[in-house]
Amino acid sequence: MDSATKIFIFLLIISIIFGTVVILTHPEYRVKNIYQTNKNYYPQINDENLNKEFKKLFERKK
Amino acid sequence: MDIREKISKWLDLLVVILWFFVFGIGVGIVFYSNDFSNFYFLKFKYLFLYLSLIFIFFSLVIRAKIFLPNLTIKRFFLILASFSFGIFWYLKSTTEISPSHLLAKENGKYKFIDTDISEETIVYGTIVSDPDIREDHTNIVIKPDIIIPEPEKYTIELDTTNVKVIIEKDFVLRVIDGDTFETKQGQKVRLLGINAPEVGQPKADKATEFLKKKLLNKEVELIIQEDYIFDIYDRVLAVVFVDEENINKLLLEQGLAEIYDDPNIRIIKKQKYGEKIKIKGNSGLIRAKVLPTIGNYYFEMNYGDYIKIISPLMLPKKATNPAGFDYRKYLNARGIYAVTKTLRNPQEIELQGLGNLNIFVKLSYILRKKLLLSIRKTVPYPQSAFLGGVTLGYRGGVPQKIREQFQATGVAHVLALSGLHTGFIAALLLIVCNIFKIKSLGRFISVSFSLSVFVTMTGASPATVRAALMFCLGLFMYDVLKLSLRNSSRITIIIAATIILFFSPQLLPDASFVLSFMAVWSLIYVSPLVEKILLYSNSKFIHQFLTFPLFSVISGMTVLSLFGGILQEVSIFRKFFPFFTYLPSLENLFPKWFNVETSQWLSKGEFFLLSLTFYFCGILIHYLYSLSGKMLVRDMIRYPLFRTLMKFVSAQVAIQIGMMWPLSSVYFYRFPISGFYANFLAIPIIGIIVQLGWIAGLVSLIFDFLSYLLGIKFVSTIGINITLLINAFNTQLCQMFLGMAKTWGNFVPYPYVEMFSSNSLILWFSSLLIIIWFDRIKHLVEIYKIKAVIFLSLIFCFGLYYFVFPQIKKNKNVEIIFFDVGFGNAVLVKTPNKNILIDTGSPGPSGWSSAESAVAPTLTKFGIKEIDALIITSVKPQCVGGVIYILSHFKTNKLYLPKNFLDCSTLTYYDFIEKQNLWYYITNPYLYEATSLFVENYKLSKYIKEFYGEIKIVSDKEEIVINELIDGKNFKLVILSSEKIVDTLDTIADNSLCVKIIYGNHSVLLPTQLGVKLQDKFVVHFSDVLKSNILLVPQNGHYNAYNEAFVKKVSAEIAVCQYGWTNQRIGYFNPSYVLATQQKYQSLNIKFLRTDFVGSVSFVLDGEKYIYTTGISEEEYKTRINID
Repeated sequence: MDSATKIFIFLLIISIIFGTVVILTHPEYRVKNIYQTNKNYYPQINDENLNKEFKKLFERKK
Repeated sequence: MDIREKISKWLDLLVVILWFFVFGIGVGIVFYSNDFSNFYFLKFKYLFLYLSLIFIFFSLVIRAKIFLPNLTIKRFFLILASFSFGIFWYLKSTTEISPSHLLAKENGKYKFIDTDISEETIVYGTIVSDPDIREDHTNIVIKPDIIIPEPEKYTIELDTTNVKVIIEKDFVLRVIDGDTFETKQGQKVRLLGINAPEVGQPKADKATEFLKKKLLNKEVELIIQEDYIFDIYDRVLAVVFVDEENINKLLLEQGLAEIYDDPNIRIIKKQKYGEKIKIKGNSGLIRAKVLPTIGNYYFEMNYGDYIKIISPLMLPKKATNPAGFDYRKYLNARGIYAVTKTLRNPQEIELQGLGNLNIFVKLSYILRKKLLLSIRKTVPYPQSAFLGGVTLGYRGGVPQKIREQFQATGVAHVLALSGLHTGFIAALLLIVCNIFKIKSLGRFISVSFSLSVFVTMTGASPATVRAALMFCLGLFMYDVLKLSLRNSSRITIIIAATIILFFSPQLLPDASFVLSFMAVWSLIYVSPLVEKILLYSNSKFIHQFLTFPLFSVISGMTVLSLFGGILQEVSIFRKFFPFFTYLPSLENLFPKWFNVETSQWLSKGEFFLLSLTFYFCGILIHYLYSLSGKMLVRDMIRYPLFRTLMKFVSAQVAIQIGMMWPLSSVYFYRFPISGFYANFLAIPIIGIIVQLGWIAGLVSLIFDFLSYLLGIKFVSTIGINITLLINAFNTQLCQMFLGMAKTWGNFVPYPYVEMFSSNSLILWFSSLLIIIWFDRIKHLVEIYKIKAVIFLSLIFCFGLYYFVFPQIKKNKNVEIIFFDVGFGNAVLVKTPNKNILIDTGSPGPSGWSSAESAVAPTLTKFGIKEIDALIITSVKPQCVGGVIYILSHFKTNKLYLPKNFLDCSTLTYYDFIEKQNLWYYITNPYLYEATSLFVENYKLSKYIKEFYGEIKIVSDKEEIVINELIDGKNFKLVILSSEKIVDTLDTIADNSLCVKIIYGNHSVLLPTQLGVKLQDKFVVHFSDVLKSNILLVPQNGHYNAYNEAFVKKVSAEIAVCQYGWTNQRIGYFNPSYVLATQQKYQSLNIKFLRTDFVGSVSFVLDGEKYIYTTGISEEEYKTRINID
C-alpha cells in the first residue's frame, strides 16, 4: 500500500471519528434538520422526483 | 553528417521556434485579434495552430533524443495509438454536449443569424444538458431539430374531431366579394374563420379576383358546423373545398384575408406557420432561459426531453465596450450560437415528448442528482451549496456574497469545476484501484471510464475535459506504454491541446481553456525552473533573501488568517475551543484594514507592512540559523513535510509567473493578490473536501442500490447515516474554506491591474521560453553558430519592430469614448496627460452595474489608475449609479457635482423629495424612479464624507476643468451651467450640467440630462459656445427632451444616443420614444448613433480631423435599423 492510500484511509477514519464527535455534540446535526435548511436549495431534487425519473428512464428503454 | 541527423537538428530548431510562435504570437492573436488585423496569418490562425501543434507533436516523436531516448518503431506506433485513443475518448465524452458546428440552413446559408431581429421563432429540439436550475430561472441547452423563423403568418386547418358537421355540394354562380359567394341553390355562403378586405380597402379587388378564379362556375364542397350554420346576415358559414383544396386556408396563406376570431367556431384550428428549416446533423445549440422556475411544470424539464419553444431567438450579447465580458465568444466556445428567453406560459414552451436520448448521459445525470440529494440530506446550507458546486458542478445556490469573496480571494477557480477537481477525482480513482489491487490495463480502463462519467455528469466544461483527457492519455502512456510520468506529461499536454483544438477550435480564446492549459504548462515547464532556483541553488543570497523569507511570509500570513478568522467559522472549534469566539478578530483589531470600501487599496500600505514584517523575520531567522554554519533551506527540504511545502511554494510561484500574472489581467482586468497566499491553504483543503464529498456520496449510492436489490429499506438508512458521519466532518472543512474566503476576501485587496498588451504578452512568454530553454538555445547556437545568431537576432529585431516600438510611440490624440452602459450616461475623455470621466452609468446588482461591467474594465485596459476629474452632470441614477464603485477602485483627484446635489445622508425620503422640489414624486412617492433617486443620492452623500479628493459643486456659469496645449493645439474641457432652477416640472434635469470639449478645430457637446427648458436657456446664454461637431443626445434620447432650436444651434454632424436596457430599468422608457427623436435628428441630416445598436462609440480627435469606431460594426445592424 503506498503512502497516498495510507493517508487517504487515515483521513477517512479521522473523518468518521470527527463526524461522530460533531453529531454527538451538535444535536441539530440530523438528517431532518439539515434537509430543512436546504429547502430552497434545488428543492426539485428529491426522492420522489428522482424515483419518477429513474422509472421513466427504463420505461423509455422499453 | 547523416541526413537523419540533419533532419533531426533542423526539427529541433523548428520545435523551439514553433513553441515561440504558439505561445507568443498565438496568445497575442487569441486576445487581440484586432491588433493583428495587418497580420497575414490572422485569417488562418486556427489552421496555423493546428499545424504548429501537430508538427510539434510529430517532431517531438521523430526527434527522439529530446524526450524519448529509447524510441522504437513499436513505441512510436503506440504513441500514435494514444493519440487515436485520445480522439476517441474526446469524441465519445463530449459530442453530445458540445458539438462545434454553426447552425446551418438546409441550403447551407446561415439565415438563422438573422433571427436576431425576428419577433418570434418556433424551435423544436431536444434538451441536451442537465437543466441548470437557479433561484429565479432555469437555463436549458437545446439541440434544435426544426426551426421556423419569423412565423408571422397564420393558417387554418379543418378539424372536425368531436364536432358534428354538415357536408353539402353546390355550384358557384356569383362571387360577391373576397369572402362571400352565391350558389345555384340560391344561398349566400360566407367563408368561415377568415375575413377578406371589404370593397374599397386595399387588396379587396385582388381577393375577389382570386375567389372568382378559384370558384366561379365550379362545383364546391361546403363543410358546415352543425351548431353554427348562419351568421347574423343569414349567410351560410362554411369551409369551402374545390378539388380537395381548402379555399379558406388558401386565401389566408396568400395574404388576401385575415384570421377572423370567433369563439363559436370549432371546426377550424388556428396555427402559426412559416418557412420550416430542418436542421441536419450536428448544429449549433440554443441556450434558453426559462423564467421563472416556480411551478412544477418546469421542474419536470429533463435531459432528453423534446420541446417546442415559441420565442424570439437572439444572438448572444457581444462585448460592446472596449473592454468587458464577451458573452457571445463565451457561448460560441461552448457550441451555443443563439439565446432565447421564455416565460413559463405553456404557450411559449411546451413538452412534446422524447428526443434523442443518450442512455449513458441520462444515467450520469440521474446519478448526479442522486449524489446532490445525499448532500441535501447530510450537509446544511450554505455548505451544501458549496459542496454541490465543488463536487458535482451545481452552480446555482451559492450565495452572491460568497461568490464575490471567492473571486476577491483568488480561489474562485474552486467554485467552478476545473482541472484541479478532475485531478482530485483521478487521484481518488487511483487510490481506489490501489486498494482493490487493480493494475495496468484494468486500471487504465476503469479510470478512463469513470472519468468519462465524471466529465459527462458535470457538464463537460473545457477545463474538466482537458484535465480528464490529459489524465487518461497520461495513464495510457504510463500503464499501457510503460513510459515515465515526466515524459508522458510533456507529451500529453500537446496531444490533448491538439485534439481539443482540432475538434473545437472556437475554444482557443476561451478563458477556461487557456487558463487551464497555461496552469498545467506552468507546472510542467516553469515549476522545475523555479524549484531549481529557490530550492536547489547554491546561492546563500537566494536562500537568505528569497526562498526562506518567501516561505516565512506565506506561512506567517496563513497562520495569522487561520487564527484570525478562519477557525472562528468552524463550529466544532467553537464548541471545543470557545476561547476562539472571544479572541478579538482581526476586523475588530484593525477596523481600518477591514473597511470594505477602502480595503481595495491596501496594497499601497498596510497589507504589505504585515507581509514585510514576516519577510524580515524570515531573513533574521535564516541569518541566526546560518551562524551555526548550516544551510536552513537545505536542512528543511530533507524532511518530507517541509519539502512538500517548499515544492508547493515553488509550484505557486510558477503558476503566478506562467499564468496568473500575465493572464488574470487580460481576462478579468484584476489580480487577486491573496490568491498566492490563499491557495496555500485552499488547494489541500479543497482536495480533501472533494474526495471526501465523493466518497460520502458514493457510500450513499451503494447502500441505496443494495437496499433496492435486497428490498430492505433499512440498508438505505444505514448508508445515509454513514454519509452523514463523513459529511459532518466535511461540513467543518467547508466552513473552514468559506471562512478562509471571507477572511482573505476582506484582508487583501483585489485591485484592478494594468492589462498586459498583446506585445507585452508576447515578450513575457518569449522571455519565459528563453529562460526555460536557455540550455537548448545555447546548444543550438553552438551547432549553428553564426546562422543561428543571425536568425535569432532577426527574430528579436522583428519583435522590437512589431511589438515594442508602436508602444513607445507617444499618442498625441484625444480619445472620447461614449460607453454602452444600457440606459445611462458614461463618457471617458482621454488626453495624453489627463483622464476625465463624465458620469458613471446606471446602478445594478453587484458585478452587473455599468461601472463594474463596462467602465472599470475599460479604464484598466487603457492603463488608467488615476482619474483627474470625475464630473457628475446630474443626480439622476443613470448618471451617478456607478460613482461609488469608481471612487473606491480608482484614485480620483477631483469630483464635480451639479448645484442641486443635496447631502441627504441625514434626510428622510420625504424630506429629500420635498427639498429637491420634486412635486410629482411627492404626489406619487412609490414610483421606482423616485426611490432609486433617493437611494443613489443617499449612498453618494454618505460615501463622499470620507472622500479624500477635492469636491466641487459647480455653480459658476462656466467652470474650466482643463485648458492646455496638446501638440501645439488648444484642448479645453469646460462645464456649462445656468442659475439654479426651482419651479419646473423636472428640477433634476433642469439643474444638470453640460460639458463642452474643444480640441483644435473640433468640439464635442455633452448635455447629458438637460431638460427642454434648460436647453432654451442655453441657446440664449451660450449661443456662441454650443456649436459642436459631436453631440450627446440629451436625456438618453427621450422625445420630450428634443428641442429643435437647441439642436439647430449645435448643428452637429454626429449625435450619439446613450440608450439601452438595464437590469434595473430605472427611468427606462419605450424604444419608440427614441425612434421619434431619431427621426427628428435624421430629418436634420445628423447621423444618429444609438449605443443599444452600435455599442460604445469611440472618437479619436487629432485637432484637425476626427474618426470614430463603434463597438459593434454598423454593418451588423444595418438590417435592423436604417442608421443613415
